Amino acid sequence: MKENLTKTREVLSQYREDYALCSKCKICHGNHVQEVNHARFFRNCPSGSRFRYEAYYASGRMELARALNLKEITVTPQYKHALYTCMECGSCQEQCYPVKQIWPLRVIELLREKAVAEGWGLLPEHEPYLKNLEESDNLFGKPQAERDRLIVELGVKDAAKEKCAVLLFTGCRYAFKPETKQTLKSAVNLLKKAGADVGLLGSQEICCGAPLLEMGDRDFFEVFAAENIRRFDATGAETVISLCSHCASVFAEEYAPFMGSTPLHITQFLSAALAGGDLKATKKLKATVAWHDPCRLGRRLKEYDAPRAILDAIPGLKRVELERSRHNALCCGNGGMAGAIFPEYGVWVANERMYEAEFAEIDTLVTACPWCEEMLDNGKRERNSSVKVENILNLLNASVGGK
Amino acid sequence: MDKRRVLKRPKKMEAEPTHNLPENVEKALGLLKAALGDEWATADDAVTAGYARDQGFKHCMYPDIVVLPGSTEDVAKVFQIANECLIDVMPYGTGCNTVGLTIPLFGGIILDGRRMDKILALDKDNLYARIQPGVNYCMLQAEAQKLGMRVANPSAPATVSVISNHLFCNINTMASKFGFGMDNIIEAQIVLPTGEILEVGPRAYGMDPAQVAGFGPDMATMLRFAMGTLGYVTEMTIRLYSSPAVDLEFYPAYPDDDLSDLIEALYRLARDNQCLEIAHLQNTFYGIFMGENNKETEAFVDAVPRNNIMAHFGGATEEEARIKVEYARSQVQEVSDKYFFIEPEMMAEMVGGKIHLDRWNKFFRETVRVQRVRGSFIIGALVNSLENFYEIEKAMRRGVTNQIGTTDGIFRPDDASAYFQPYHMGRMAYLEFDLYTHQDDKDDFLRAYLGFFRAFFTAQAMGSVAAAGTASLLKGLPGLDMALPMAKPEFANLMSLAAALKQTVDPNDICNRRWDYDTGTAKKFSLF
Repeated sequence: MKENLTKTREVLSQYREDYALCSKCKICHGNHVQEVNHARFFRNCPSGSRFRYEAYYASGRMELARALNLKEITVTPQYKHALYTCMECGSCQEQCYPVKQIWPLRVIELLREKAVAEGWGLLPEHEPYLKNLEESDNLFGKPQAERDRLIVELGVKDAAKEKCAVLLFTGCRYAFKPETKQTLKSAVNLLKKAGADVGLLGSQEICCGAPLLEMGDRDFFEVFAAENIRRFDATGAETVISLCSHCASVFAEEYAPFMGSTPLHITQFLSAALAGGDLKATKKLKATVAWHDPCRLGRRLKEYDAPRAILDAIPGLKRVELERSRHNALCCGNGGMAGAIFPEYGVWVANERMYEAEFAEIDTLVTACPWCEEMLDNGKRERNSSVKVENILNLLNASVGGK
Repeated sequence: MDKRRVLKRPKKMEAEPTHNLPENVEKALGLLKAALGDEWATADDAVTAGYARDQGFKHCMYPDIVVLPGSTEDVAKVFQIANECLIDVMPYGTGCNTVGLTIPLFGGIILDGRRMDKILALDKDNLYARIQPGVNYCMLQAEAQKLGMRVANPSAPATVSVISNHLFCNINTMASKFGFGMDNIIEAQIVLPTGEILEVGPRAYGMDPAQVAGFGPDMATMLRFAMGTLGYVTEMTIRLYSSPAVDLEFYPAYPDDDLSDLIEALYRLARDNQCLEIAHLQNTFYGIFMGENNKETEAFVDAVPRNNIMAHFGGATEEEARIKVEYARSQVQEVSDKYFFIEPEMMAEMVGGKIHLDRWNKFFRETVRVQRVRGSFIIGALVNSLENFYEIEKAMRRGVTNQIGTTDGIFRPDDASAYFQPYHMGRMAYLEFDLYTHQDDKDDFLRAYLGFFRAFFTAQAMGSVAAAGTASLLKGLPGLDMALPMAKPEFANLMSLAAALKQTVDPNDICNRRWDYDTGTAKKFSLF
């Protein structure tokens, strides 16, 4: 796609100064050093913590960019492994940018785009996802018609046929994974209780394209982005609410300047509804919980407070913070498509996150991203943890008396 | 796969190589994979690229192999294989180098210690910690503080390996009372370049770290400034310090840029040895540790006085600490009536709130986050006495401003800033002299670069002993290798002695050969 439908394109060479000037101070390896209270929780780079070589930290990936640019090395399987094991969680950039004005995450993203553009990128494990998106317009290769059933099941408007104020963008996981069905029901129930005029696009909803950006295929992403923007605008909705933090982040970062509606993550909408009195959580839930910040909702969109406000509004819940929280949050293990293509590594990261949940002595780890839910569940199973993983919408729905 | 041609992979061999021959590298890789496991030894360019360069001026140079041992035994195996195949080994802690210390000159093996990252012991009663090389200051400080202890925090990022930095001096604010980190090494476990495992300190005699080593030679400090030439430290026991029940801050400030009275006051306080921590800081230093980013840094620089003494007084009770503060106040007042004393509340107000002051205190005393703001230069120098500070700093400043004077005053005076750290009650001291450049101005960067060298040679000529980091920087620069022994002939003799010791423990000369090459140049010149 030649036209510039999303934000202005950048190329890796524009960040040459960043990767050339990286001073190897290694603050990208861990959390903000003043906010570390336990040695184990210093580490915050998933791939570096697992694979340990310099190439698996942001400081080493800067060298991958530099060395390739100067033609010092060629691309090897390990080069690609180092590139695609990055979860794009952005922890490195959170630490580096304020003091060094260097954008390591952006360099990694653009290195992936360069890889695709030059034809040496992507791994065989990426292929099924690309094929699914090519053939079915969704990540899992499911018939799009299945999405139409949701309109009936959930009792919402068909946004492709009638006007609605709020367009609920379910995302591929919530639409096709049976284990997430309750979350979808909770979401619709909460939106209705908050007085929202909700509609779904049904089979007209296609992937947001975030996985493509994470793989580095910006051309293909823009095909999806352009079509989504056209369809969103056609509904006349004022707000597009997404349940997934990956969808929410591409809408806010890439689509927003070009679409007529306002993109929001559902936690942002519901926390405002609770604060405005449109929604009331009355039923007491007895549990000690902690919020797992999805990287895309937290570090990317800087939304740390809305989900916490929701949890605080639920009577009976005791909320504690994990050691690595807010801008220091550890990735769940499923970011940047790395968990999808290297499942064992993803579970290794999730296992560490669940250890942290156990360390905080909580009953339930709460999140609002289907990618996080899936991988944290895997981590829970791996370590046979007693800590439950729950979507925030189900907790809130239970408290407002929904089914 | 990418079919592009590799234009230039920075890797070179000696003129008549005996080490790192390609066929031996291949053999060594096979042996290392068998010994450590496939995952923990590699020769892949994607990995070796990450170890080829740092922020210093040394040329980019790739190692042949990178290994990540998981235990002391693994490290021993690496050295045994390296000896068998005649492959150089470059010790590497967490890799926070600024001057090319771990960049191999002619390839070889990088021995990366980051898989060995355990805190093996923390003794609250006897105030010590035993750690592995992958433990950084942030990790150790967090665990020590939970038990009411602290580790001496260097003016380096908290991501630095404690073992590496303690061996490499560790300049810290408690140095006047307790010395630098290198003075607080109790014992160590070292894998010698031959692969033998050596214990030094009390443990070598079967004793507890809290006990005195006993009879016989104590080699616990053998590795100070050895920079990995004598082997790899796999475990080390270091002293920690207890946090006092009461800790009072004391901020005498001096508005002028004239340092003579300031040095005198600093010297008095250091000699009295009542304060737990003491340092002198010019305003830019406040800025870089207080600011969360460069923008905040600039604002703080303008908010605080030009010269500041930062001191902390501890005590079992508030009264005890207060008496110490009052005595210190009288000492400073005796030196000059230009001093004024900023109460902590006022200091907090000046820098935009307590949060910033707390952050600064935490940065400087517990965990440094910022290595340097981007585009800055640093000269570290050990000065033989506090009295010498004044003259040396003044001359360095002149050297810089003369250089800068040719550029229409683009630099503000504050862009050159000094930090004096008394050591052992002022018997000696560390002087740090930093230049800050405007980040987007490349000409500015060049001017600062030239100013840096003028200042450095000025300090050398006046008798300062270059801190090891700076010396390494010089050794990596052609021409300067020879200039250093010319200025200080004893430096060449020292290098010859170091080379003799090295030959004893490393007969095949495989461990950090960079040092050998560098000192070789110096040695030749001294003979000439």
